[in-house]
Amino acid sequence: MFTLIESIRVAWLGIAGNKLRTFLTMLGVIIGVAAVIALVSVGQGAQAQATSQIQALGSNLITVMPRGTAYRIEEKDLDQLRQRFPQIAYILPAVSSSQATVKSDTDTVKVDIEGTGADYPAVRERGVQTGSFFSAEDVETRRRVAVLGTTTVTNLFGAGSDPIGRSIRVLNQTFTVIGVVEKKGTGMGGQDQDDRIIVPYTTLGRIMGLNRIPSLTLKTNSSEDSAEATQAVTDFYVAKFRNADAVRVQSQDQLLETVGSITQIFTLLLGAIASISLAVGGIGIMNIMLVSVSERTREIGIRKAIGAKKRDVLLQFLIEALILSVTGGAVGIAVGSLGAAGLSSVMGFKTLVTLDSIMVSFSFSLGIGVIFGFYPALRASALDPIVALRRD
Amino acid sequence: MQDSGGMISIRNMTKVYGTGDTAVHALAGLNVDVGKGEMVAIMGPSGSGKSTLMNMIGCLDRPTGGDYFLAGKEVGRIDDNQRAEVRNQHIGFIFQGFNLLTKLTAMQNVETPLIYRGIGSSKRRIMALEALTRVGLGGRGHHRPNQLSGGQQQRVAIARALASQPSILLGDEPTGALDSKTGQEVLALFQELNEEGRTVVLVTHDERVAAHCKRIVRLSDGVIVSDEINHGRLDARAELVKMGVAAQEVADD
Repeated sequence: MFTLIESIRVAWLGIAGNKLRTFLTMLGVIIGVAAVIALVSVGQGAQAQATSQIQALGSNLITVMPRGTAYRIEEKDLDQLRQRFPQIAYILPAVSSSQATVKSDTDTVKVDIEGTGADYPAVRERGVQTGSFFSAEDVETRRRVAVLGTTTVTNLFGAGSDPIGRSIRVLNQTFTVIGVVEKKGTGMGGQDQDDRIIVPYTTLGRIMGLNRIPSLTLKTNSSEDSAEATQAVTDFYVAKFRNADAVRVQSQDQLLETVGSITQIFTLLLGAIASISLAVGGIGIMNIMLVSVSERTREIGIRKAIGAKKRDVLLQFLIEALILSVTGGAVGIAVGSLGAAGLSSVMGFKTLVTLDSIMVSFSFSLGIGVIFGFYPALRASALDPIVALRRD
Repeated sequence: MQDSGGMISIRNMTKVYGTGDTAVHALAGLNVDVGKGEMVAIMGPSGSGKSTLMNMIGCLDRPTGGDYFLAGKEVGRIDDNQRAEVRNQHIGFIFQGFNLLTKLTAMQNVETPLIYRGIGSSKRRIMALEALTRVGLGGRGHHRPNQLSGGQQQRVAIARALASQPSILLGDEPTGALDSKTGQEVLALFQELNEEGRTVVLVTHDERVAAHCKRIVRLSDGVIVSDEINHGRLDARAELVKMGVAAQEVADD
């Protein structure tokens, strides 16, 4: 019985005898595993970032959006929804005008206008840092008041200035600035969430001449309420328009799922591309092992003559392949993790090396060692000792 | 013939390479017995079946027909793995070209058959050191083959063969790659080992090597044509002394 430890020792001596070749063989696996780790980390990072940004919008949210202008969400729907479905804690209508022209006394800028309700701070979990948010009464009376993002304040009035009480022209109407919302930074898709003007949706709807509400955001108090309310609101609009596809009602959980599955496909795609280089690394191992078997024919003959069985020789060469692939895999994980960190700091997007991707690529490299090492090992073990001894 | 229980008993052994008209009958119904403690030379010109017989005795190959009993056990019809086991336990090979594993030290080379036998490392080291000491290389265990002379390498190979306490020491032209003096030293070692009771079979075409054996078997066309006791057996050590080399030096080298 030739023990495993002895096999590993004998295999190690075989590998250590040719260090440069060993390194070059490993390099294929190192690059393969490092590519998998680094590229998958990009996908995983994108997923984590998308998830955290969706969650940053608030929690337990539901968006309601008609598919096409034939289906109108109206003001009276809001009261009905509120009365019928107690799970809904807040309803936030949304009207928007992108890249509208806005003027202060000194500057003219293009900025996104967001029309919303008085519950905005509660739903979006984003209050004002100075001044105040507009009230329900402001919304009802379509008052021309505006709350600005910090970037917009800087663009319109200059850095560090106090905009409260000042007038701006939005879509050729005069608004009074009453507050500045808390800073939030860069959002999904890279837009600046602090470069915007928030006004009552009623006011913006009137200026834009809308006779409908483009979309609603509902907030519930729990995830269970959110699931119930999603179904209830869907049923409400199906009944109203007699069309199952008239209005899309999507909870935040569903959105997270959708985004999660998209980024997962992205991650898998990146992983698959990187796996090709890992497979090439495996072929490199097979190539070198075949060369090694033919170079060491005499050694194999000697070992067989003094009592090595087929299994002993098979195990020796298989373990050599495994040492190459597993060591290459381990180094590849380290290089890949460094690469992920490098990508993150150079390219500026988030990367995430997960335990999963480490485990998967490590077992992948182990599998490659077995698959690509088996055939050369089999060839070695099948050598006839008489023929092998005769070879120089 | 000296016989204290047959170590090797070969009956009607045939070995045919190829088939039909091109078939070569390397062994054609060969019979031979070697008793425990013998020292036999197997001789014959090339093509006589000498190498084939050596492969058969060494359990490297499987005969086409006939029986082969080694240390009382039928080994002619066993499978590859069983043959590997028999080689490991009963045969101590000594080759013309030494056939040491070049990347391993002398010690590791001697240990290798013991590894395949599954002997633990500490016991293995004791056995290997004992064998190396027996051939006079107890202090050279950490040397690699390329750091040793040809004679020393062949002695490491003999130590490797000895370490596993085989039933027979089987030499294939063991002095063929050595100059006459070191060849003589190796023959002296074989004679000593034989005097200690070990069975030695040397396959050779060299009459001088055969002259040191107790019995000479000659082959031709796959059968034994002569099998006689070597009455004028040479004593390798006495010859070394004649050559002006002190016996002690040989042992210590």
